[in-house]
Amino acid sequence: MANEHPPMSIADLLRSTPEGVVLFDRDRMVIMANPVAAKLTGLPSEGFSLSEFIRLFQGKIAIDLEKTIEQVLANGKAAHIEEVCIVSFFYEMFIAPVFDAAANVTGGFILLRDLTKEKVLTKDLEKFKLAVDNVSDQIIITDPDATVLYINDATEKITGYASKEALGGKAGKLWGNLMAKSFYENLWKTIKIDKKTFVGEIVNQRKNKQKYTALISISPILDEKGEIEFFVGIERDITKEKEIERAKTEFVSLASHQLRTPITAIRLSLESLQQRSEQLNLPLDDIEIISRAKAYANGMSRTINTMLNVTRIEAGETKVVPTEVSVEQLLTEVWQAFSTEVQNKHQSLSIDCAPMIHRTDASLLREILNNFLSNAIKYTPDGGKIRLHAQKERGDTLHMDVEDTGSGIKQEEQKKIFTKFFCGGEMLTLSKGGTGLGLYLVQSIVTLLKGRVTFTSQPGKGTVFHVFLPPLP
Amino acid sequence: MRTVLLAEDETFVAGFYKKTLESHGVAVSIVSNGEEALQAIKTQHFDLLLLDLLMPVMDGYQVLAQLKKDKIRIPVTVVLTNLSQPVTKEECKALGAEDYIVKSDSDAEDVWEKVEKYLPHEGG
Repeated sequence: MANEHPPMSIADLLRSTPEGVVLFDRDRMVIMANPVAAKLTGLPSEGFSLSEFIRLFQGKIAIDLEKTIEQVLANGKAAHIEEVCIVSFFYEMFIAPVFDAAANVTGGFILLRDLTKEKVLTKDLEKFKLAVDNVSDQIIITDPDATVLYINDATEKITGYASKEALGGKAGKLWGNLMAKSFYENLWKTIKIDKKTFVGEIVNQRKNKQKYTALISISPILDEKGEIEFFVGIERDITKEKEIERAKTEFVSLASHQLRTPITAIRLSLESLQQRSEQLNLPLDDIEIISRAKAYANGMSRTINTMLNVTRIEAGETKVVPTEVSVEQLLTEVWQAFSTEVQNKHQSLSIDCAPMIHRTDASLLREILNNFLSNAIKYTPDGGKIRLHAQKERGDTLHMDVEDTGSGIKQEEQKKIFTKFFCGGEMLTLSKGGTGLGLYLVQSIVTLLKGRVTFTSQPGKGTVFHVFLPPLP
Repeated sequence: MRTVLLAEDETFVAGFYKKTLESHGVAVSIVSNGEEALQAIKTQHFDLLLLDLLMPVMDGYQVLAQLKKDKIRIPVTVVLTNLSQPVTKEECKALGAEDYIVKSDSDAEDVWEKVEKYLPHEGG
């Protein structure tokens, strides 16, 4: 038999609808109020009168609800109240007449649409927008073709372009276009093709043509299918920081030069005395004094070099110049440079390295060795042993290690030794005169040379530092 | 005898370099500024020029520029410096020099070792 469905009534429909419904007759008697209406108004689900309903809104909405209902019943025209807030709910209210078949108004109904979720979402959105608008970094949103969709206040301020001037334009044409073509090609490839975040420094120009340096981070935002919906760019104006960096480099260069002049005179003087010590028949004590003084002068020179190198590397100015380096020759040169210090402490310095060539930057490699050796000598007691070793490993990687029989590095300090200005030990350090820059510099150089640095250390026994350097192209 | 022209305004420092080079059988003439250096080059042949970059009246850079301009060829020029540049041999070549020595990193014997590499062999 057809139509085997259970009978459904209008009452069932009203009870099940997601909107709140209050049905009333011409005498303003509530015929039916569904559970949603009760929930949205807080009125009892068993039933309530229209007066109770109207009283609920007294003073809470601008319009006179009683009068509106009267008018709806009298004129047969619906009324709409956009937003009502009762208890913690937000909703939209419709008040409409009910007609019979003969088009007579027999009553009316109130429809309540719950807007709470949308409202909360909008409030959250407003909060985010406020945050984004007021943050000091630039935030720029573009479509997948780099057409500007939104710029925040900071962007207006920094670029000099008002929102309406920028919207619809291309980010690249507005404040960009100063970098090399390859820079933009790389940027575009990263965000559009690789769909990855691009981070880098860029030089842009303001509306008044004034240039500024910014640190930018541009991320593609993907939809569920993995397609790019838009790009979000965050930019920070670092012009000031760059100026400070430049001033710092200039100052260190100037100071270094000023210091190098007297150091030159001192070391040459001491060298001369050393050479003449036999002629002068100097007692051993005096020969020792001259030797020590020379070692200190050498150390001063090295410290200046370290400071200069650190400044340069931090400013990104260090150039890597790969050449075919004779490793055993380099080790020998470094060994010779430290011979005075080693002799002074009666330490033994040995080299274990077969003749080998490695393609790398000679002066940077020398700087790494200088720092390791300087530390090894400093932290190894008189009579101790230091060994320089190098060998080639898989992939033509150069593995160098500097091993000492020194005081070692305490367990709790091992994580920190590569950080800037870190000097191991308590009072021990201040008397040994470390700058805390040596290992920090080594780490920076090794990173630049695309290598790795590791170490093992046993307090009281000694330390071995390992450097692994791939051949440079 | 092999000859070296040493252009260095710090006479104290120059004295050490001269003494050491002479102890290895090289004749050394000292001048203390660029103008004197150019003058000396015009009047005498030198196997090698040890040129300080920072000098009064006329500095090392200007000397090199002038030599290039006048197309005067010195067999070898090694630049003496305490500045943070030049740092590489390439930068030296660009200036017109073969090599460089950082004074505060070098003993007088180190200077000799470097100079010896570029000097013509004795008797030649």
